[in-house]
Amino acid sequence: MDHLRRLRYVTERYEQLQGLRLVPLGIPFLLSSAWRSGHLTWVPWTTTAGIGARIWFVALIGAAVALSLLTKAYYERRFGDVQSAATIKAPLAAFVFTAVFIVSASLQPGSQATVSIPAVIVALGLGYVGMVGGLLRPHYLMMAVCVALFAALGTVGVPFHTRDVLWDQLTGIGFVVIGVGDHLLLRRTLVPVTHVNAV
Amino acid sequence: MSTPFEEMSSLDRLLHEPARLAILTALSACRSCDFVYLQSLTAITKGNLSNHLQKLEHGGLVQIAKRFRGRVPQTVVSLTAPGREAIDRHWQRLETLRSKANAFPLAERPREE
Repeated sequence: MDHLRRLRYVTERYEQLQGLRLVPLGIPFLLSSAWRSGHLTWVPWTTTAGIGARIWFVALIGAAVALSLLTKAYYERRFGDVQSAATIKAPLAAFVFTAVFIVSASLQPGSQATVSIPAVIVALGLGYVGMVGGLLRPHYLMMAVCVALFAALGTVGVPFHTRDVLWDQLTGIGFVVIGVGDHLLLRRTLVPVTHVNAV
Repeated sequence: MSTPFEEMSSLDRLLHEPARLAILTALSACRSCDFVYLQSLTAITKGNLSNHLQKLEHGGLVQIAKRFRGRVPQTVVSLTAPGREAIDRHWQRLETLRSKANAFPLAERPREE
């Protein structure tokens, strides 16, 4: 029955669990952290004003999104296609989370708190996803802990610039860890049809 | 009064066959899915899967539609309303049987000679 429960969980979230689509999104953030640390200044058009670097970042995000669409086709070819049951729950949860994050990010600069409130919001969101469904996605809990630790860095006097670099690294690593973790959950539950037909 | 183990033998075989139970469980979690997805979750051959889907269709539990996605033919399967009720009832029965089996007194089990 546990296998059937996992099967139901994966089918409900089939599109979300196509984790390889997330992995490319980690690259721009990892490169951004490297640039902020001064390691990629040799890259053309990355001016000291940072405008070139921002253009690079946006272009890399665009490339990652394009790669994500190609990867969707890969999943459909290997594992098939699912039409999710239309519910308001997931879009509503995403909307509420985004709204709370934006409000917390706008309140942070004026706040006396040394704890990063937006990071706490992100940690809570990741923790919630990790807990739902019987701990099938422990990689979300792992990232929630990392983000929660990051949120507390201000309390131990870590400077802003260092925290900016670490945030980019954490975001990049987060996309990779979550993407690979979700893909492995999908892969444990489904068998690629090419493997089935080869038998 | 029958034991939970005896009750299990009276489960509907149309639903309770492993591949068909997996198919119906997956369909209960979505609006519809295609043949390829069902094959990847059951890991059975196309012929075997077609056979199971035919039985479910004859039993009125699923409906099968063939359409084109661009130029590629696609077979899409979804639960009928009776099918959705049937799998929900079946799962409730399984959960009840599981609870009963877990609570079954150890003392009433036959001793090993």
